[in-house]
Amino acid sequence: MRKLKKLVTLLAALALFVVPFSNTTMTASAEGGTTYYIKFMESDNDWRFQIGGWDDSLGYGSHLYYLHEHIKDGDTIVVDGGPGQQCYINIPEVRLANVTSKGANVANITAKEIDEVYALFDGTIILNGHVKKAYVYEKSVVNFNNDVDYLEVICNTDSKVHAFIGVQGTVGHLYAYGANNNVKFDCYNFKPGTFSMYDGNLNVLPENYTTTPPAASGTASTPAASTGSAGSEYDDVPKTGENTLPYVMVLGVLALCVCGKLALRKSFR
Amino acid sequence: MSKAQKIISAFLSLLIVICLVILGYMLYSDKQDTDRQQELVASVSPEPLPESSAASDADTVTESVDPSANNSSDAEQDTSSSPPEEELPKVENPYRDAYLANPDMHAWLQIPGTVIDYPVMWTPEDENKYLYLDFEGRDNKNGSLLLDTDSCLSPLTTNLIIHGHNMKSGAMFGNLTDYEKPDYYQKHKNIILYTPECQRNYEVIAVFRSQVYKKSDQVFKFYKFFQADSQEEFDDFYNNIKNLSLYDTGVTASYGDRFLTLSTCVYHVKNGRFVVVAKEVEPGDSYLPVRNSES
Repeated sequence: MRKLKKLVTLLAALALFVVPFSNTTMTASAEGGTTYYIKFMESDNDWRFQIGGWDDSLGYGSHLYYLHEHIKDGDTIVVDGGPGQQCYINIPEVRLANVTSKGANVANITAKEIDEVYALFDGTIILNGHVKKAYVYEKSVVNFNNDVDYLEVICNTDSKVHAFIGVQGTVGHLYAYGANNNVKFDCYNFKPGTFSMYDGNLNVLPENYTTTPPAASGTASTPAASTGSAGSEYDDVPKTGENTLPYVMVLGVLALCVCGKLALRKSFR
Repeated sequence: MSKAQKIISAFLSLLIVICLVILGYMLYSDKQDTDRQQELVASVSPEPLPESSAASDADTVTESVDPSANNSSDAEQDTSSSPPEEELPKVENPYRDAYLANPDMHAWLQIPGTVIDYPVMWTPEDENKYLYLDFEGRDNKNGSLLLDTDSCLSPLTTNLIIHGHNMKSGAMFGNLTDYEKPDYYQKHKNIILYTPECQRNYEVIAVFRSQVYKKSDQVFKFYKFFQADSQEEFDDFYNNIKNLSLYDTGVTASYGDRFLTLSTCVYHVKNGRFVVVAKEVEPGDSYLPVRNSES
């Protein structure tokens, strides 16, 4: 009886390994949603898009009219370059997962909500719709006409930031840093319509924001980009080790099973 | 044996078989990932370059004419490549097809004589995007080489940091730790980084073990150095890497020089890193623009 109880305990311990392992897979699930890559076609004097990335061999791409027809919640828009003629994307009923400006000149996007915005390569972009997280690089020019939950401003080439940003709504959390992680601003709760940054200089009266984080509410969730605040107590550096945990768990279960069988045999004798 | 014991024994036997099947599948899957990675890289690699422009000739590359004379006064003006004074004609980028196939690729890293011959991905919006994705964006345990988001090729930062997985199979940066042996270093002093603008050549200057520290730790963090705006900042980095280096390479650097840092995980301490730092020397070919062959 005592040996049987031991075995039951062993099985219970096994279950502890098996159950978490069954959820532990090696694969990182890929993001859903379609990416619409928009470029300006000089030959057509118009903006066109292709799905996925841009491939010149596929021709000029499709009219933006079709993008408006097919875009849906969770999709991504990339706007690449341009001559200064505005690229209008008007989809007020759609929630976008990501909007990326690759030096867009100029993108004007209206959406219900945007999860992430990346303004790269000194482009100019106008956004209508609530933005959850925005990352503005170098000398990009961005105008947010609604609220921004988290705004990160980065300059990789200088200790000072150089972006040009205006926000008509509120800004939950501003985190701005230059090269070598030289933090310039770490501020919270900007009042509506008060946020203005010109060449990296924050033109906001002190009474319109705070420098202490809000008490408990999760205004700014951990940013997706590397470096920056929150999360681990360790510096944010890509983890380039080989994940051997699945092997360890399987071998652990195997070892326990073998021990269990041996114990059973011994008890039988 | 009682009935209960028989049932338990049968259950354990079944579990053992399941574990063995799972283990076999995992090993097979890993091998598939590695093979697919190699095929993918081979498919986007160009034909081997002729001897004259490749850096397999170690003598040609390491004949650095006093790099401080080359770079110190040009540190500001030289934002991308630093082609020789004589205007050599630009040639087609050998990795043009790879750049066009995936815009997230921003360079190609090669260490002649090793398996390290991979595209380098740069995704500032999500540094870890390609941590477990291959060049085509499919799940792969080996991942891709990542250019640190705080590094920049245009304009070029003082230090470029590339992260890669330490794979037991030897893929990616699995063999980077071989640089611990001075003999290995002697045979593999040179590193090449093919960028959209030009071929950048480097020679190894320091090899050391380090780690990722806590945010609050006030220590030398090799992964935080990207730009030296002053002599002091440069000296801080340079002196630290020389002091940490496992052996003296005899290579020196001065303010204005640029570096390439390769980093991978090791397990001597928690969050351990193995680091190879190389100094930029004479560049190779300059390249025509990759996209749309404009101008």
